Amino acid sequence: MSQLAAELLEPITPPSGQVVASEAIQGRGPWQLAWARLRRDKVAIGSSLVIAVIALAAIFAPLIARLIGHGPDTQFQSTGLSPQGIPVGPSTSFFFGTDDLGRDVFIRVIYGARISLLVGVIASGMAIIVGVVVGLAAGYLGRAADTVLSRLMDVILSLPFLVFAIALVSVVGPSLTITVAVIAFFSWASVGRIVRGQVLSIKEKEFVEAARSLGAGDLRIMFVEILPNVLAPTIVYATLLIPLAIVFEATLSFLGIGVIPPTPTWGNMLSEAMPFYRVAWWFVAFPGLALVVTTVAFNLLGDSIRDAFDPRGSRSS
Amino acid sequence: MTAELRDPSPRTDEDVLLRLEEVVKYFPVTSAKVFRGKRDHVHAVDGVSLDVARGKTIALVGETGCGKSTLARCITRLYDLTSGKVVFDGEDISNHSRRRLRPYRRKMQMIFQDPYGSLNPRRRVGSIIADAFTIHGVAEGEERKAKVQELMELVGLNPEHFNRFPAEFSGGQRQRIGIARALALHPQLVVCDEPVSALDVSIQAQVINLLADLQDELGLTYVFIAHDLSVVRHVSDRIAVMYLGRIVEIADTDDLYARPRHPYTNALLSAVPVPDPDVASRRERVLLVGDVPSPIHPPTGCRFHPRCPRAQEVCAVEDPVLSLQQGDRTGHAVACHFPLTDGEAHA
Amino acid sequence: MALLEVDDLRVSFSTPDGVLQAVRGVSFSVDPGQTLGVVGESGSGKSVSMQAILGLSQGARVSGSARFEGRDLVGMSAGELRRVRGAQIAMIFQDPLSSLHPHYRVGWQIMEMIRAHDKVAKKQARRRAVELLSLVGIPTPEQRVDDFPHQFSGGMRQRAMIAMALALNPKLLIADEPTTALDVTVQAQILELIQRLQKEFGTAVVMITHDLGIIADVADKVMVMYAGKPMEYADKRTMYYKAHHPYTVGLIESLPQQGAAGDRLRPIPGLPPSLLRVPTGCPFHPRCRYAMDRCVVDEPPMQEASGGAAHRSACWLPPDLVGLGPDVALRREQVAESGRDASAQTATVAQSQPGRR
Ligand SMILES: Nc1ncnc2c1ncn2[C@@H]1O[C@H](COP(=O)(O)OP(=O)(O)OP(=O)(O)O)[C@@H](O)[C@H]1O
Ligand SMILES: Nc1ncnc2c1ncn2[C@@H]1O[C@H](COP(=O)(O)OP(=O)(O)OP(=O)(O)O)[C@@H](O)[C@H]1O
Ligand code: SF4
Ligand SMILES: [Mg+2]
Ligand SMILES: [Mg+2]
Repeated sequence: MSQLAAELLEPITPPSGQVVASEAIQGRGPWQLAWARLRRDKVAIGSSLVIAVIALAAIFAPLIARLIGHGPDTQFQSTGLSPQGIPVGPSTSFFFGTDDLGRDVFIRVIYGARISLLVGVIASGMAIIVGVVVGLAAGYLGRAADTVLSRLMDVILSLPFLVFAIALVSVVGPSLTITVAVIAFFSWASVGRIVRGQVLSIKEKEFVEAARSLGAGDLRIMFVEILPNVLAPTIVYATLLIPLAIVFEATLSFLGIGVIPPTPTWGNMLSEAMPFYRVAWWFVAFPGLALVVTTVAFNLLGDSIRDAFDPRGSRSS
Repeated sequence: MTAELRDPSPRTDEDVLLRLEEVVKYFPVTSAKVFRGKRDHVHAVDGVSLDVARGKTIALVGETGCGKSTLARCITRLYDLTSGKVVFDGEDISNHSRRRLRPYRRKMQMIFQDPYGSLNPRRRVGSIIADAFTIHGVAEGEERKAKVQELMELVGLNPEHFNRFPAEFSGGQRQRIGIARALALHPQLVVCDEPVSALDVSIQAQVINLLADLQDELGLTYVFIAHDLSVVRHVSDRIAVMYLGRIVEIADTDDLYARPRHPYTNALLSAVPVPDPDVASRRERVLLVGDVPSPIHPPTGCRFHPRCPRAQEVCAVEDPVLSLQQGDRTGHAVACHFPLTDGEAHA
Repeated sequence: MALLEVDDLRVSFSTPDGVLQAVRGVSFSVDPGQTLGVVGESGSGKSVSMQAILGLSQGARVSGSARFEGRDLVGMSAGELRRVRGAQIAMIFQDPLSSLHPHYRVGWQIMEMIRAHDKVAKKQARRRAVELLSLVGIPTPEQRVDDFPHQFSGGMRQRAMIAMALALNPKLLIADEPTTALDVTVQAQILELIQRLQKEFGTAVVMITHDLGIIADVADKVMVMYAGKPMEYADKRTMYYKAHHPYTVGLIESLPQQGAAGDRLRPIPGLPPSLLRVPTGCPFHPRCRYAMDRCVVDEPPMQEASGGAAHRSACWLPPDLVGLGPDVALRREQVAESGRDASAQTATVAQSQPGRR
């Protein structure tokens, strides 16, 4: 446009040996960079594959059940139980063996995955949303809002989870919805704390002041300026929260105050299997294994995502 | 104790865009003290009065912690004042609510010191620059993008890079992005808080030239903050030297360099390294003793007296008033009991 | 004989994005009692080269030689190096806030430094620490010796660092931007202090800085670095008045001139290169006003220039084209013109003309 512009125009060359590394990385943002690193990470790929397999099994559980011809609640009195009424072990007709009622453990495990993943994703999703909003508000608004919200989070974090859950269920009765609600209720506060801590440091950055000096309001600053900067740690935390929620659900169901039978979940399967662990190891082992594998896979993935966002040795700015 | 510190040089022939009257900003100190006695305060800005003429550049110089950034944030009303007035274009905005300030946000803008901290690392440069348009609802869609690219071109950035992230730019280029953002709504006043301090010399000059060109082209008024007198000489029409929250000397640029009156200004001038071996070997440094005292309990009397080579008894007791020199016509004011006379200044 | 003689020092790091050549062949020497100033923009390899000499660069590949009193420091065993470091060569670091340990008293840190090399009694070491603190101008050192670093201001911390560095009367002091984090008035105090101590004890100093003003003040000889290489090497007056290399000239000209207020500054266009992909030929050619065809292909070696004794510069321009000012600039321009092929010419000119004259 102006003569001035023309003469000041200069080719953009990357800054000296720091952030921009090679031609290939140019034009990419922090998200793309993290994604690129993640794709090179073998652990991340492995754990994602495991999670994908479990998720697919959960999604297509009815289809698989139809293919095999075993429903989750079908009791195979003749084929699934020995003449003495003992569950039968893994075989070509029952991959994971059967349970005390002659039901197919494999089918029940993949049906259980539906519940586990559903509860894990929905409960941690709710916890994340509430935690992020509350943490943002507490950290950004400060003063009275911060005092109130921080106390609230402290209180929730110090409540005895199981006692509270048992008390609640004895009043309203166990159900899937209550399970999700209870888990979300007890998880959001830790998210809120993490987010609040991040916000406290980010809100002192000059770019927040810059936005304010342009006339941006509190909401805009919270959601446009600050939120993207807490998203990375939040995503990492979410991947770690999902297995936690799955274990919560399993615990509740195990104790009989979560999802109640006959709907199969890993927790209530384990609970049902307890008396039989001497005679039918598969009855305990497969739901337990499913729980451990899922939890470990999510945890490994979470670690990888954290590394991808914050690789050692890179200069943070 | 507080002396009268109005800018003694409101020259009526000039069109004053910004007037500061006795601006005071204290920060409460969060101390570990258990007993609630008298609460301590950081006296960050302690009675600053200043006139800024339209289309001109006034520089604020002084060492770390003397309150330059705090004053800048008082001017742009990012901070509420403890007391005093900020008058912008004839209107006192010192007590305006956020809503009433919004129209003024378009008229005064700020450029920040830290080229890394002042740009959101998670947002694209184009949307950072477009912030002003978004917030004030100016232009939409393609028009907005065109305006952003025009701005990028104006500050010497490649307009095609609007989709990149700040991390992909160098310090000098980031500073240009900050400048583009500040200029988006055609402000009248731009407060530059040490815009080049974090940059290498060869890049510093690029940014200073850019600021000068933009002033010519757009008729901007600058409040230019620096801690180093060698940079501001080049850009400013008038310089105010700050020490511990006060202005100790204010004068037209050439006048200040030629005839510094305040012993602190003199020391500051003599401490700036000169990139010329012959001059450097000829000249004598005025070495100050000690460090800048705490702004929580500033010294009594003249705040500079514990470090001042000219201090006498009266300096510890009586606070000198910022006032014009006898017979002065250029508006050269100094707050000192024993100002330097011609010929006493360092080489 | 030179106290320190560095020859073809090279340092590289392997990073996830490739090999980063931080230092690419640095040679210089320091005589006893002399001050060598090292200038260059951020990232030009100033700190890394000095750290490599002292064996402080972790994870780096170092080659070349650095002979201190005849003994090569590169490749010396860690134990031997430790004995040299502190006792014979001391270093003051760039960041005064992080170079003192926050959890130990300042005096204790100085005493440890002394006792690590000298088997002296605690009492004696403490007396020496107090002496040193008073030497560097810390008021009431008997009391301050028991302070923690956070009780010191930035300037005092830097002085404590200097006290520590001088504790064992080193023959060479390497000061890496000792004043960058400080205010100008405090900077003046520190520079004065270093000069005074140097006179008193005959210490040789390597002063790293990006401020040409500091160099003009304290240095005897100057080395200008760019992209991990020395571009020019000369005594101070030659460097400022008879510079040969366009980068040095550009640096000096980009400073706000004394008494020339109101004029436009003359910045060097463009940016320093990435050390992962250093340009071919002369590393400065993409930003150089006078770049000729051969500059793009051939890397100029360090060779004699005619500014003064021992004046060396890595530039293809004729060695007698030294100095600042419009006349020399014009002659440089003429030479450059004749060194350009017509087709390439337009490209380079467009690239290297950012500012009005
Ligand atoms: N938000 C705050 N709360 C408490 N004290 C503050 C705050 N901001 C600044 N201060 C104090 O006020 C004084 C002035 O600070 P200010 O940042 O204005 O100085 P400055 O002149 O800009 O210094 P610098 O050159 O380091 O940027 C300092 O002592 C500082 O510690
Ligand atoms: N440990 C390391 N690993 C990888 N690269 C490094 C390492 N240390 C330094 N570098 C790189 O080496 C180059 C030279 O760095 P160096 O610290 O020597 O610069 P400098 O000239 O001292 O700059 P400054 O003025 O900023 O201190 C830089 O590009 C830097 O990023
Ligand atoms: S003239 Fe050539 S060799 Fe000399 S500095 Fe310029 S580009 Fe490098
Ligand atoms: Mg500041
Ligand atoms: Mg360095």
